[in-house]
Amino acid sequence: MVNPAIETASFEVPIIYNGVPKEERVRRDELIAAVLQRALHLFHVRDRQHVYGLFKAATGGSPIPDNITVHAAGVEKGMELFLREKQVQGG
Amino acid sequence: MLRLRGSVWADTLDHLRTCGARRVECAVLWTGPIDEPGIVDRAVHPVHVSTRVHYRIDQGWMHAFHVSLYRERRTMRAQTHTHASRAFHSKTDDDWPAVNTAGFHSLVFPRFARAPLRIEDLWLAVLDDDGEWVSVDPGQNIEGLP
Repeated sequence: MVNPAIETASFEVPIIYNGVPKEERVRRDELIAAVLQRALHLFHVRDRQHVYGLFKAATGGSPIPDNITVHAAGVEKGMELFLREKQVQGG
Repeated sequence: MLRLRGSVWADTLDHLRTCGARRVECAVLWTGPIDEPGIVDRAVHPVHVSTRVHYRIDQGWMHAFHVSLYRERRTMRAQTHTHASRAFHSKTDDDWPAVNTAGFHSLVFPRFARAPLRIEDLWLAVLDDDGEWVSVDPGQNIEGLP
């Protein structure tokens, strides 16, 4: 039988990068920065990590702040999080 | 190896030349189905601001684009953009691509992609496993070039 406390303390969310989703388990009390680091590792982003952020589908203009918890960010079980570059430019 | 399908090449040139008619840089993103590796069947012209020497894609547009890629099970396989003179990769090009994972390609066109365009004047690179851009021959790495 699953401990209800554990069941609600962590849950899985799909993290999507360049169209590809991968499931990641997150804890309500952990910082978004930690989730972001695991997401970068999940998708083998080894370089230029500072340009990345996690974005919610509905509020895509700005990344979720790194320094707040999963719970404070309003991230819930099954919520799609988009890993993407905060800036794309060239020249 | 990228494999161009349908009117991708023609659409790319059309976007780059129309957008670049004002002598500013332009970018086009190449996408394909996730389940068909290497296939590029769509040339997407992003909303962007640009000058003669720089372009920047609108972040609101970029987010909506990422969401649509996911919903349609598609992925970006390459970015293309123009330079005013010769084609190469600047530091900005190196550091701020649309995708930062191994296998992503970047194709640069000289002279705002104006005709006549020679394949040997294009510059193509692919990201390796260490995050480094490796220059490769466009003719040997893109199927479907004229």
